[in-house]
Amino acid sequence: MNYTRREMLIGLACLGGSSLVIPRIVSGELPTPEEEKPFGPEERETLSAAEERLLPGAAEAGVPEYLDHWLSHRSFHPVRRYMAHGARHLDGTARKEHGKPFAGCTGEQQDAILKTFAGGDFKAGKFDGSVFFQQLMELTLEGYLSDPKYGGNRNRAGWNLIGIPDGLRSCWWNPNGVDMVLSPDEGFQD
Amino acid sequence: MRSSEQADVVVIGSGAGGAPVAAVLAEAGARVVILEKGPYYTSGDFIHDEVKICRRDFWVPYLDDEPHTIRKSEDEPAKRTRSGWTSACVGGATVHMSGFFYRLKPSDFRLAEMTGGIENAEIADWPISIETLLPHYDMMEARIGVSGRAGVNPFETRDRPFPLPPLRPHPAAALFDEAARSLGYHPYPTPRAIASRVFGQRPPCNYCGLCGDYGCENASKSSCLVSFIPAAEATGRCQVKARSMARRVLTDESDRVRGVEYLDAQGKVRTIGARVVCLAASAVESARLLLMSRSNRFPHGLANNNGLVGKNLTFSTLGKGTAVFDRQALVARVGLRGMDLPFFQRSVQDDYWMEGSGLALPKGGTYNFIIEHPNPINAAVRLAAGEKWRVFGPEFKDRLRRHFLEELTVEFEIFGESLPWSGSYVDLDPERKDRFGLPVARITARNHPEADKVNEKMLVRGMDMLKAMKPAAKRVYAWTWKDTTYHLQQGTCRFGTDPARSVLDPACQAHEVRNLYVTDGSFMPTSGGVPSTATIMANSLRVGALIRDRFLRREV
Repeated sequence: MNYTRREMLIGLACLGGSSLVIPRIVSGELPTPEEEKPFGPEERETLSAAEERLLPGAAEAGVPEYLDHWLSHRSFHPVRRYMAHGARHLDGTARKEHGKPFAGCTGEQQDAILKTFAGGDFKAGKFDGSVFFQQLMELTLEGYLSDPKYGGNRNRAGWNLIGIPDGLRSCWWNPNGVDMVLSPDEGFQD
Repeated sequence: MRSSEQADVVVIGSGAGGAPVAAVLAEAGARVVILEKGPYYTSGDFIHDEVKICRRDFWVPYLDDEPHTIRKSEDEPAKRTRSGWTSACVGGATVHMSGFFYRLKPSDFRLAEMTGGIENAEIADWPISIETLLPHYDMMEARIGVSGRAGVNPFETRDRPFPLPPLRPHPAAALFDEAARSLGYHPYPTPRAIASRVFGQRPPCNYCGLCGDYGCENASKSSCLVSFIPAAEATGRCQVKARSMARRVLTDESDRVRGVEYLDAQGKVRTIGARVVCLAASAVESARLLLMSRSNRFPHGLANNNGLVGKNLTFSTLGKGTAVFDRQALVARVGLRGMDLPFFQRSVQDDYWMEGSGLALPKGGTYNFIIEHPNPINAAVRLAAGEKWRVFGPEFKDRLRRHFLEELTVEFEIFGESLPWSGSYVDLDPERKDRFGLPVARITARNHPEADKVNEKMLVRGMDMLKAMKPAAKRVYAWTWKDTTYHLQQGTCRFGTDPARSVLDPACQAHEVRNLYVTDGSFMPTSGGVPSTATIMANSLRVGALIRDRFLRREV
C-alpha cells in the first residue's frame, strides 16, 4: 500500500447519494407531521444546544425545527428514540460532571462532553455515543443545507455559506463565457 | 383461459431491460403491455431536493411496505433493508442513473477460459460473443443518444463514431490527462447517456451536474423515460400500466407461459393473458417473481427445476478515491474559464486485464474520474466522516465553507468484476412479507476474496493517477466498502447453452418455460468491468429482435 492508514476510510457508501447512518426509511411521499412534537422541552433544549456546538448558527438557521419536521414522521421514530436517549445521556453526563443540565454548561464543557461521545468513549447498554453523535451531525448538516421548505436553512444561511444562494442549480450559470454548443471535435484534446 | 385482458407481449418492468424490448416489439406490430410497479413521473416532476430525492431514497419502496432483507452469510439473521431495489418508476433506474455508458470487452465474455477458473467461484463463459452484441450497442446508442469520442481509447470495442460528441469536460481534466499519460495510461472521454447537443426533440444538457440520483428535468439524460418508452407508446400498440405489480407468472400444462397475475393501482388482483412474457424487474426482483410463481410442475419456482434461479448474484465491486485540490492553484494552471463545469469526463481502462499481475483474477475494470457530486449535504457529511467525526464547531464550519468555495474535489470510482459464487444469491425470505402479503427477497451477499484483491490493487493504482496530478492535491482519501455494494445487479438467471447449468438459453428464453424471457441484468453470467446498464439495454434490443422474428415465423 502506498497510501497511509489515515487516508483509508472504510465502510462509507457514497455514490453521490445517501447515508448509512441515518436509516434510509422515508418514502418519496412527504411526511405528514404528527400533532405532537418529537421531543419534550428538556430534550429539545439539550439537542438544540448540542446542534449549536456542532455547527454555530444552527439554531438561527432553524435546525431544531428541521428535526421537528422529520423526526415526527413515523418512519423516523427509531431515530427519534435514539436522539431522545442521547439527549438524556448528554444531560446526565453534564449533571454528573458539572452539576448542571447540558444546556446550562459552558461551551467548553459542552464540547468536552460531545468529544467523549464522538470518540466512542460513552456507551450505555445498547446506546453508543459515537452513533448518536454521527446521527446528530448528519441531521444538523441536513437541517443546515436542505431545501428551506423543511424548516431548516432559514434565510438560506447554509446555502449562502457555501456560495450557492439559490441552492442546487437548475443549470450551469456559465459565468466565464464558455460556449455551450460543442463542435464535433471538442471535449477532448489528443 | 379466462382473462379480463389480453396482450401479445407482457413486459414486467420498464427500465433498461424492459423498455427496449417493449419498443422493438410494439414497433414490429405486437400489442404490448408494460407492467410497472412504480408511478409514471414526467420530466416536470423532477426537482433538486437533496433531502427528498437522495437522503430519503425517493426512488425505492418504503421500508415498512416493501423491504428486502439482507445478510452477509447464512450464519447471521437477515435484516430489513432498502438496498437491492434499483428503482420503482416508469423508466426504472435509468431515470436516476448517472449514465456512464461503457460497453463490455471480449474478456468479459470469456472469463472462465481466460482465468482457467477460480477457486470457489462459479464463473461461466457467455454463450454469445461480443460480436453478437456490437450491432445492438450501436443501435441502442443511436436510439437513446449517447455522447462520447471514438478512436481515443485503445481498449474500446467499437468501430463506429458516437452519435453525439462528448460532454464538455472541466478544464482540470487536461491536467489529469497529463498525469495519467505520464504513468502510461490512456485517458479518454467518458461515454455518457446524455445528449451533448440537440437530439431529436430533446434539448442538450444544461450542465446542472445533478445526473446521478436525480431525474433530469431537462430530458437531456437518455433514460428509457424519454427514449424507448415514448417510442413504444407512439406506436399506439403499447400500454404502460404504472403502479401495477406483477405477483405471479402463469403457465399452462405444456410449460408454456400464458399470462401474468398482477395487482393494479387499486390493489385489485387482475390477470392479463400473453403469448410472450418478458421479465425485467431487476436481477433481485425478477428472481423473486420466478421463485414466487410456484405450481405443481414448478414446485421450487418457475423455470427453477435445476435450482439455479437466484444463484450467482453479482453486483459491481467498487472502490473510490478522492483528491482535494486548491481551486486557485488549478486556476493558475488552466485559467478561470470553465472552472464551474460539473463533469470531469475521463475514464481509464488500461487495467481492464492485468496480465502479469500475479492475481488469480487479473481482471480489473474501469476507472471513472469525476468531479465530486454537487450534493451539499452529502459532501458535508463526507467531510465530517473524513475527519472521523472529530472536527466540529467553528473549525468545521470554516472547513465546510472552504470546501465549496476554495477547493475542487476530483474523484474516481472503480467498476470491477464481482465474481459469482456461492456466497451471493437471492431467495425468498422465509418469514418477512411485504404489504401485499408476498414473501420478500432475501439477499445473501459478500464479495469473493479474489474480487476484493483486484479492487484493492486498482484502488492503489487509481490513487497514483490522482497523486500524479500537478498541482498536487491538498488531501487524498481512498474509500473501500467493507461489504459488497448493491448498486448494479446481475446474474440471478444466467444464460447458457446447457439447461442443467443455466436458467436461460442464449436467446434469454427460459430453458424450462416456453415464451418466457428475462431481459434485465439477470442473464449475465459475470458482471463485467463496467456498469451493466448499456449492456442490458443492448441485450434487450437483441432479445426483442429475436422475439420479433419468432412472431414473424408464427412460432408464438
